[in-house]
Amino acid sequence: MNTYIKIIIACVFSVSVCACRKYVEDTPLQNTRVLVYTDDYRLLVNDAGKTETASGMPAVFSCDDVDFTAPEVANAVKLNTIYTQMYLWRKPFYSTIQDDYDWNNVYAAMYEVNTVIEGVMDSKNGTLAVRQAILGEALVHRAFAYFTLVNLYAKQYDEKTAATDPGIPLLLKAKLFVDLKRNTVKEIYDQILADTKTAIPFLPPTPDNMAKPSKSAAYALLAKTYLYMRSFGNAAAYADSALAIKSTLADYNTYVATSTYTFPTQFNDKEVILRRVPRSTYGAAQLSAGLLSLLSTNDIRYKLFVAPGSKLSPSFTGLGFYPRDKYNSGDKSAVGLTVPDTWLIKAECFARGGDKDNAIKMVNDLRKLRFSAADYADLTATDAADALRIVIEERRREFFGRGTRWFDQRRLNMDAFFAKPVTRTFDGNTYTLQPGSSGYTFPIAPILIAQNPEIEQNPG
Amino acid sequence: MQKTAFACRSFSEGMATCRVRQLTEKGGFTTQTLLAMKLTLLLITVSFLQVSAKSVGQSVSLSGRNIPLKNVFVSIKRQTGYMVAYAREVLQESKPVSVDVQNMTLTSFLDLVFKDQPLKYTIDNKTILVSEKPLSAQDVIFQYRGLPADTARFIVAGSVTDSTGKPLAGATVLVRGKQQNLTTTDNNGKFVLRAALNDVVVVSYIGYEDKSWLVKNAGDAITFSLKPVVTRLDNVDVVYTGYQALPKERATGSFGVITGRELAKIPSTSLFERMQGMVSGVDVTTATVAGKTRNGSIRIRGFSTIPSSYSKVSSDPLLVIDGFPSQISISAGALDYLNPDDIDQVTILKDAAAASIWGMQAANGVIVIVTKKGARNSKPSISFNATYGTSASPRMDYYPQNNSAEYIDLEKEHIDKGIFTDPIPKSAPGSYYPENASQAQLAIFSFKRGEITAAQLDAKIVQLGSQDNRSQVSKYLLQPASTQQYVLSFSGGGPNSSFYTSAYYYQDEPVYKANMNRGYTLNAGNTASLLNGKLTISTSLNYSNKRDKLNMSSVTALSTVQGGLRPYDMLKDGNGQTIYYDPFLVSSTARTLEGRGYLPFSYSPIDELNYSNKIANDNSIMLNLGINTNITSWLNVNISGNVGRVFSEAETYDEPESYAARMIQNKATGLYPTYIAKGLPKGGKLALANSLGRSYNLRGTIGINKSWRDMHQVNMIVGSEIREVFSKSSGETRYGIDKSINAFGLPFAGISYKDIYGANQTMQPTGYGISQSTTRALSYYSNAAYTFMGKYTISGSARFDDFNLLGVERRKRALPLWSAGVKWNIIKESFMKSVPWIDNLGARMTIGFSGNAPQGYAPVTQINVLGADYYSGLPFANIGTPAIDNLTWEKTRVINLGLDYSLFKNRLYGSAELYYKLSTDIIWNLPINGTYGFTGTLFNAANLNGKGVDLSVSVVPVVTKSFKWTSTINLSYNTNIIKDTRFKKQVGSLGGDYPYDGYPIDYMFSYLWAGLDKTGQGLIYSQDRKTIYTINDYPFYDIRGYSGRTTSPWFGGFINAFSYKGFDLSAWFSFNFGGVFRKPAANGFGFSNNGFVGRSKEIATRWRKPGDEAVTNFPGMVYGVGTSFYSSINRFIESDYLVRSRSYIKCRQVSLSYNVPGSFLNKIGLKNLTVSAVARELGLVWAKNEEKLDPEYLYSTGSGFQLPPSVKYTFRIATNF
Repeated sequence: MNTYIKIIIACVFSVSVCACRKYVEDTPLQNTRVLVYTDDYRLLVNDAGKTETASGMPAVFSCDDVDFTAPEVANAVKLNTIYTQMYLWRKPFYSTIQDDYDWNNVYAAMYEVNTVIEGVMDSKNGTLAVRQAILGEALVHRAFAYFTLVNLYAKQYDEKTAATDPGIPLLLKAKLFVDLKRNTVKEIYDQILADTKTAIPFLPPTPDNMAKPSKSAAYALLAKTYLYMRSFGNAAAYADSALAIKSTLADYNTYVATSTYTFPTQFNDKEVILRRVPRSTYGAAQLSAGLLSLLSTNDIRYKLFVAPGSKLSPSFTGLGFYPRDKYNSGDKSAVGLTVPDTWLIKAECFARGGDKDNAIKMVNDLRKLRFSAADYADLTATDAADALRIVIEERRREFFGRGTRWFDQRRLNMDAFFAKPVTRTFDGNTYTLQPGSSGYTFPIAPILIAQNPEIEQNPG
Repeated sequence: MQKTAFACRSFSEGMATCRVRQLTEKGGFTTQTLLAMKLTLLLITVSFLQVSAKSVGQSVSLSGRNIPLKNVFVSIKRQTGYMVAYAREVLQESKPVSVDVQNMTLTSFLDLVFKDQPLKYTIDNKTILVSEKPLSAQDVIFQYRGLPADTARFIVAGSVTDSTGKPLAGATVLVRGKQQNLTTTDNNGKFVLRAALNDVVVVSYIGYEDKSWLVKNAGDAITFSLKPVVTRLDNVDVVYTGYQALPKERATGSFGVITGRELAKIPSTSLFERMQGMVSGVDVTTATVAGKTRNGSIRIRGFSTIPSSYSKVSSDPLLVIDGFPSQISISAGALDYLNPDDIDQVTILKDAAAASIWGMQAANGVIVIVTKKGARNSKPSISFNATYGTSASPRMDYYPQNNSAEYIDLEKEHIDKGIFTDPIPKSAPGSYYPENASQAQLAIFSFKRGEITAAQLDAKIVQLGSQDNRSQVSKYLLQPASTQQYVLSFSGGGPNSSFYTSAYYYQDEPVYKANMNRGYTLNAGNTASLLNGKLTISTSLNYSNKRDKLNMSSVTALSTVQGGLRPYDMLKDGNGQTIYYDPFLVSSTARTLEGRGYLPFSYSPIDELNYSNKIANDNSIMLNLGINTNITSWLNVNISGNVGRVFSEAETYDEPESYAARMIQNKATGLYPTYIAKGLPKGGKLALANSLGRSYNLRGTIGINKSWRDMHQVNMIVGSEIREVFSKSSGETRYGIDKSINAFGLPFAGISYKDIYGANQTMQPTGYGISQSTTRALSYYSNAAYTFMGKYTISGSARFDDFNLLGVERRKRALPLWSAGVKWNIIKESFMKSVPWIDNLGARMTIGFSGNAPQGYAPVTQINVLGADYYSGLPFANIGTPAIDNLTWEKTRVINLGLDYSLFKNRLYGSAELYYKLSTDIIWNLPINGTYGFTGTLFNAANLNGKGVDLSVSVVPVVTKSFKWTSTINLSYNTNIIKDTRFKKQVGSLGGDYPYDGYPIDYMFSYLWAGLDKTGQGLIYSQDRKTIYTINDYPFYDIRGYSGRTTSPWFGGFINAFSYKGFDLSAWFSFNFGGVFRKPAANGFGFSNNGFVGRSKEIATRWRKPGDEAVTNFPGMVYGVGTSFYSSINRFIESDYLVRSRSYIKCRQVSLSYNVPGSFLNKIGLKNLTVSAVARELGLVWAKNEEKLDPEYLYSTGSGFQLPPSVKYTFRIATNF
């Protein structure tokens, strides 16, 4: 009998011993997938649904590509206070309880890429090269996100004031509840440059998927960033690096070869370097007279992207932007890094550097692919300043309707020639956006400031 | 298991102390040790209930049955002041006494009491000394058969009879501790047995009390006269916590008990139905959902958390079966696996003191189920019962519906107002395919296009208006629900072992045709004791299978999704031919496409009864093992473990001929100018889902149960356990399946095809990910109670739970939980003897602290691995939840005050309880700055104050020898209020499941209806009723008024039970008072996007022309400039005009059973035969709402259509042989 009892007691004892802390600590968390392996980070950095988001409707509404003179569009905009505020460059856009998803979504992507940047180098089962490649992609994603945000919510980079101008909160770690005080514009730009440059050695020259950053994307982003910093020499050099890897321009004639026009998705578009899409678009972006005066009707870009308002929603009388998603491809406008963008950056740098001929040559090389051979005629410039005007006008023609123009408007305010007031008549009143006005920085949503008062609101 | 912590000492004693005595170890349903313990408690309880004594000098008055001698002594002391002195062991051999004496002198009384006892008494100076009586020759008489003395063996011979002297054949006779010395009596009740001197011979027979005798002397043959087992009272003597059995008398917490006997009285196949209304404070709902029959839910004392879709905190009570938590939760159907006839007792742990032993899983209460066990030393017995239930025909007229003519009239108005537009012009192949136009709509559009004349249209409308498909729907798609259930069990036991085996089978056919639920459960339990009862090993193995066949055809036909029928859509024509419809597109287009090679688009719900079944096959296996050892008479050690597996397979097969498969094929077929191209392999579709769960528990407990001179009683357990639950699920969909010829098409993910709309589609991957989870828990627990003088009990319990749920840091992951309680048995106080009309009175109070953990949140970042990104095609993951390190457990504090009473010779008894619940740190999603990457995350945010009352009153108005009427009311009140300033009522919209400060969580807010304006649109009042807003006003502030709670705060049951000889009749009414609901009125009215219009009869009263606003509140269909139909109808639907009181009384069930008398049964070889019948869902007795709507079943449109329950009749025959 004693033997039995001894066994029993031994069992009780062993249960107690089993019942030590390790029992609960060494098990995976319930129904969770945590980041351990390099492959997990690969999947996370592949979350194109998050990283693809760039600027959206506010940039379209604010830029001088659009002018809602048609009463149908004006009425539709009038019914929506957010649209009205954006269209009239007024602040704030949102009420105290509404979220600004243009901001939130980019920061949501930021949390993910920060998670990758923090953890991928310590992940398991991946070679150094694989881990570095993932890190490189995440760094470029982060740099692009900050580039987008700083150019929407902060003042245009100005060498003289960048070190004191409030930028945006610079979050480099995936962590909740940190201080959200705005860093300066310079700090943001420095980070963009640092991230991008760090990434370059880790990246392949070209991506296997346009959602993934590559060396060409990093160079293109650097070219763009230096352009916005008005460091034209650097911009030109990095544009060269980007174009050295990828400089394929598409012949638009192929898109209108048949009676039903086609347009490729960004994944199949040989001009795309890094895919980005607008977060939101407006269905009836009526194009302004100023823009239309720059476009000739035999420009293939006109044929593809300008449509009568009757084909848009809400339907209106006039001409509106007919975006890429209207074509069977179903993909949205390219607002990321593209060959034409880098191409024209390089051309702009030529012009600004006084090299009129090279600038015009690059513009013409592009335009040859934008017209039928019958309709094409070379452009000529009288001097470098004229060449710069032509390059900028070509930028308007190449990128209209998708908000890219807003970014150009902001930076070109630094050039006396381009700094012009924009005027709109709406609901019987006239509104003017002066160069350098606070209307060029978007308001930060009041809810963000209410939640974290350390975030400073933009003036105006 | 733990039960033996209370084991009667008789079993743990060594043989040496055994003396010749009569033991009243009851044979019964479960293990002997348990029963012995129960018996003791039972007797004590009986004595409390039945003793009534008067205090008169040296005379004694006492009446009662089966009073333990100890209690008799207490009465003597109370009435005479004489002390009674005895050695405790001595009383173990005593028999309870049944007396009825008034003012008898003390000595006469003592003579009477000691007459049949193996004891004698002497009186010495006001002290009665009790000692053992010397054995007399008559006590033990065995026949000596002349064996050599050195063998020291006797041959014992004798006979066994019942109390009337009738011989009992098959009784077990054995020598205790010597299993080999076992025999059974022959047909004349005779036996012969070998025994040695001082052996104890035990005689047992099922249904009778055991008797044992000490072999002392040779003598004449002895006749054992066995007494029938005292029928167990329904008064519960023991409550189970899952870890231990507690004498109810000493339990401080709030326990609700349903005995197996009570469950058996309701011959319903559903355990939910059997439990309904039995325990106050426990709300059991059995409302069924379309397409599912066996379901229900249990809520114990309202809410302890705020249920929401994302807080991932369970609001289900914990289900414990035979000591271990069920692998499957109640809401996932755990009770379906249980054989209701296997249940010995259900104990519901309501307050913190009762439940805190279960730690963090117990915040919503615990339901402890103990299953039946075999009884030792009992003759094998077989019981069988069969149950058959059937329902009245389904009621199609439950809610007032518009008839066909009114329905067409409404359709016309939808067309006139432009809500429905002509589908034909849009139906050119390659463009939008209009869906689901009705016969009436198509006729009207035909007329509008000039294809038919006005006269033809009128004729068609008249014809359709005269059709009513309800009788055809009843005939072809519905059936009276029926249910069958069979249980066979086999139990018995030898001297050192017992077994219980049962098999259970059920088959339900719900009201919707082509549906079926069936299942079976096999259960085998065994208990063996070794080393003279020092060591007990119990095992049980349980296997359950259930197979549910789900066919949605009838439900779809009754709903307003594609495939639903309009009231004039007949199923068969006058010649009995099935009528086919084309819900997917207009018939002309359908025929054209069929001509091009598309599969038929035709649809009939009758045909679909044969197809597209979902067959779910669920299995559960459970193995329990327990080893209990009594180290001393008061200390035991228990090791128990449990291993479980659940595995399920669900298969939904759309046969190639089924409408669903044909539409999948057709939709994936591209139409080209000269040909068609099928995007999917030809055949049907098969969707598979599999899941696997496994769990184990291992537990070690030390139990102490000791008393000192009846002054101090200590009862304690200490233990630790580990538990792991693992689950895994996966699934896949396959196309191109034809099971009849074993054809399996291969799905190629990534293949592109053009669909019927002309859009490009890509074949998606058909397999889903495998999801797995592992939960581990490590717990230490203890529960202790100390009782002084049987009057005062204090109890305490503590548990430390460490789960792997909450991540890495132990401080946040593990939580100590505790409770404490006191109980005062007032009846035992000396001053109570002056209050003879009180039979029992006890007060108790507990306070405790339990927790509830969020699941799936942790201080590490979690990702969701998803398929391919839509655009990029890259496989990707996103962040499911960010690293959250600020979360801790939800905590619930409960205070419970209880009073138990029994008055007027148990003619009035019951209990009253009052409780307060405070839940803090309730996990809620609150907004955070979007800059962090998320707009909301979980916080320990809200507080919930709850309180309630549970009352139970039973009255026995009439009791005679053969007739008893018992009337019981269980009444509960429960309410709750959110207290948290972060949840201020929002100014804009209200709704969803958002909590509001100062309101209960089940609030209802309504617009204050102000009637209609002259355009037929709704008007609403401001909160102060001073301003009226039209539909063009959007008052963006707090415009809605509070209407009340959507659950009734008062609820309960009223049960009347009558027993007359073998007959038992009971009627049970359930009631709900308070609370509100909104009458469904305008559902599906005016803005249909699927071709259906509203079915509510009330729509006919809608506003149609100016002036109608004086007589109706129902808004008109008004569209156009300056109107907002959506706001108008939405404000109406959410207005206080439609708010009704939820108060109602229902006759839930009436049951009748008859126990056929034993004298008759014996002739046909049966021991027991009970026949019973029950009628359920007898309908509303009273409802406060004027329309007499049943708030449990509100008419709804859409896919959630639900038929009301029909009266259900169940018949059962139960027998034992």
